[in-house]
Amino acid sequence: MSGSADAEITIAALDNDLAVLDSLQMLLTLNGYSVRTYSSARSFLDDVHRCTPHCLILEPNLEDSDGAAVARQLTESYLFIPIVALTAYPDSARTRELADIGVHTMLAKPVTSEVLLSQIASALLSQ
Amino acid sequence: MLAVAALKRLLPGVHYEDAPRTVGGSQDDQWRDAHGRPGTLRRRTDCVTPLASGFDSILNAIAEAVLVTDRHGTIVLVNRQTERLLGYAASHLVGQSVEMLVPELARERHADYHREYLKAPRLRPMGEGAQLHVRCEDGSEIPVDIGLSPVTISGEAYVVSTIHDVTARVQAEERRFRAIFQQKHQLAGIVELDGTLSDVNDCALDYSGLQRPDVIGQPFDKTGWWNHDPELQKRLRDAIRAAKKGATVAFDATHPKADGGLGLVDFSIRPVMDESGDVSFLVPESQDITDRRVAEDAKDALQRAVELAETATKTKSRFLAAASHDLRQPLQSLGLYLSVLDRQLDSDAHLEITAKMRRSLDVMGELLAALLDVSRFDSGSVVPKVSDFPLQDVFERIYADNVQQAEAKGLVLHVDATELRVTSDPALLERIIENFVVNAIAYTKTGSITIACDVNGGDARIVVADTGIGIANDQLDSIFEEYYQLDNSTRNRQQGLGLGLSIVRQIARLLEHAVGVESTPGVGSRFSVDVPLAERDTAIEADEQVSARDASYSPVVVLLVDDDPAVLDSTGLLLDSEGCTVHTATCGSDGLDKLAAGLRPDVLITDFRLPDFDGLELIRRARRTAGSELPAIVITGDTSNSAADLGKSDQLHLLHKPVCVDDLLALVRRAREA
Repeated sequence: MSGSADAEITIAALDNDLAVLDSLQMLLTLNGYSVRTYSSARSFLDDVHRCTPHCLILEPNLEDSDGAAVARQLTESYLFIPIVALTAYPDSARTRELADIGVHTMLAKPVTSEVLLSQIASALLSQ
Repeated sequence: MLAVAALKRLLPGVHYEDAPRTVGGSQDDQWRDAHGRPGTLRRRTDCVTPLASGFDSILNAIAEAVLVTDRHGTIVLVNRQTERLLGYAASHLVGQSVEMLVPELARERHADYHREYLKAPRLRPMGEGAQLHVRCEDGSEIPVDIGLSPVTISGEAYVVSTIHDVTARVQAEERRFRAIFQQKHQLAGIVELDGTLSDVNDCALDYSGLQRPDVIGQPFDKTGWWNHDPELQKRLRDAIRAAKKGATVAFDATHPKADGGLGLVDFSIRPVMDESGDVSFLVPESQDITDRRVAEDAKDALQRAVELAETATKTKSRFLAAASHDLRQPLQSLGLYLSVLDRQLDSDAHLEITAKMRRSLDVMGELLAALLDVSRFDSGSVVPKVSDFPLQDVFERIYADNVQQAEAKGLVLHVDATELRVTSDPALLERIIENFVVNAIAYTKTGSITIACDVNGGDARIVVADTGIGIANDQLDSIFEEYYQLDNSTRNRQQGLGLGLSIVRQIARLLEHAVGVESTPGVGSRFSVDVPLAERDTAIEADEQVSARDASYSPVVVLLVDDDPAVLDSTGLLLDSEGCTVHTATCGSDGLDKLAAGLRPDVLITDFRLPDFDGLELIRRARRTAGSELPAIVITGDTSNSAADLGKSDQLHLLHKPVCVDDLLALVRRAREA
């Protein structure tokens, strides 16, 4: 990804926790990204074709779905979006399932903003 | 039993007197002697039979009481034993009805039995089953066994009875019965077939505080043990019915206790049969099981409490884990918000505040991690993944992760490289060792921390040693407890939660590795963990260990004698670095003094040229003290043949200067093996 100054890089964040979504939005916006936040898998998947992000920050343990299902949906739609998983449940089965499918990075909350930003950058570069 | 007729057959030719006699109230009884002459019974006080004195003597010599009655039950003949037994003179017996001898209670039935007997008379004991008694002159009643035998004389029917006093036997039986009956632990009684209680032991009376006269003769189910509970009374009546038919019935029951409470008993009632298999009476017994029940209840309660506690722990752990996970969310958002805020602040004062906020946030993160750890191990959700791996890998990772922290405190972190391989879970083992290292760094002000390992049996013992503040003896156990921290009575959170060692203990327990600690306050501490060696290396390690042990624990002892201090020094150092224990002397006599003082070196190394006497002389004298087998090496600068010859003859090794180090070492080693 060449990251030209004009092209807007969109990061999508999918998580049930509103404070996490809000703080992510503030941090990423401050760092020059365009951010779209979703609090349910449904709302994300409905939107993803219209507004395809360059990277997805995903909590695998969602109320209405799980990370693996979302990831599968994306690949089935030929949307190859790198995923940075950011989970509050590192030991859960759903987290493991997502890890098995394959993500760019698996992070456990809480991570520092430095770590998060560098992982996002690396995910974007992997494209 | 003997019949008169039988006696007569036994004594043919005996003359019988025939003095006529009258027997009160009945016609004269006639019998015939051997010759067919009639004779009669004589009633005389001094002679119980009118037979010839021989027969008399025999009759009176019989050890049993003998008594003959006619078909009316009149006593017609008695012997001396009968008189003795009953206390009557024969004259008061003969001619009387035998009923006088029958106890009053039995008299009614006796007449019937007598009649029955005469209908079908035969040789048999009287009164099968029940205990018979005879009534004596003084009114007392003696327990007896009576044997009956019919005889016919002159067409008249008589019964010959023998009466055997069984008082002693009855008393012995009674004593045995009483002994069993009156034992202290079991309530026991005797219930007759009509359901009434005919006997009871003191234990039963005392248990319920009842008096003997109140219960004896009463229907058992109406007595004080039972009348507190109508259900129980009915159950007892059913049991008595079944027992009368031959069954033994048992059930748990309650009896009122003397102190007013209710006791729980194991009750049973069983029939006792007579010789013909009929039930003659019942034996009720009760065993107090209140204590046993209390103990069982306590055991059950304890079991339930343990299960409850285990469930509670698991629940608590699961809850802790769940809550901890929820905590991750606000920690994440808070961290990100703080980063955003930081970027928007200019003032140093403000930035200082956010920096402090950041530190607090970090501590919270650590606390969370520690809590999660504890709960994870508590709830048993950690499963070790065991494999074989080289320890060095773990050591290197720990070194890399911690060296900076150590150096920041001015401490040296050192790892003794090892080639040992072990069988364990590498991630969990790393946590144990890292925890030791982190603690060591935290509790050491100056000096060093060393990670090393050694072989200890089939295990690798990994030791983290520090030069820190140490731990007092009485705290050595406590440090492994949760939240225990030395030196942190104010619970300064910056020093962590104090959960590290408790987690170490849990991991160690999970992996079945032994953990140990030694410490000297003010000097330092050594924390160790024993990990099984990877199998295929065990043999090799053992060998290495043996030789290593040889070198370190029983080093070669060398006595080095040379008058040149530089040589002494350098050779001594060389040998020392090879693991030898070196003793030095600068002249022969010094060397001999050391031997005289008790030194027994494995090898003596001496220069040929010494100030007092030459090396060969020294060797000779040394061998007188330390044994002729003492290996010796002479170092000489003399290359002449004489020296070489000496070497061969005196059983020593000769080395020429300048000495080849390898040669010297090889000789020393060989000397040790010799």
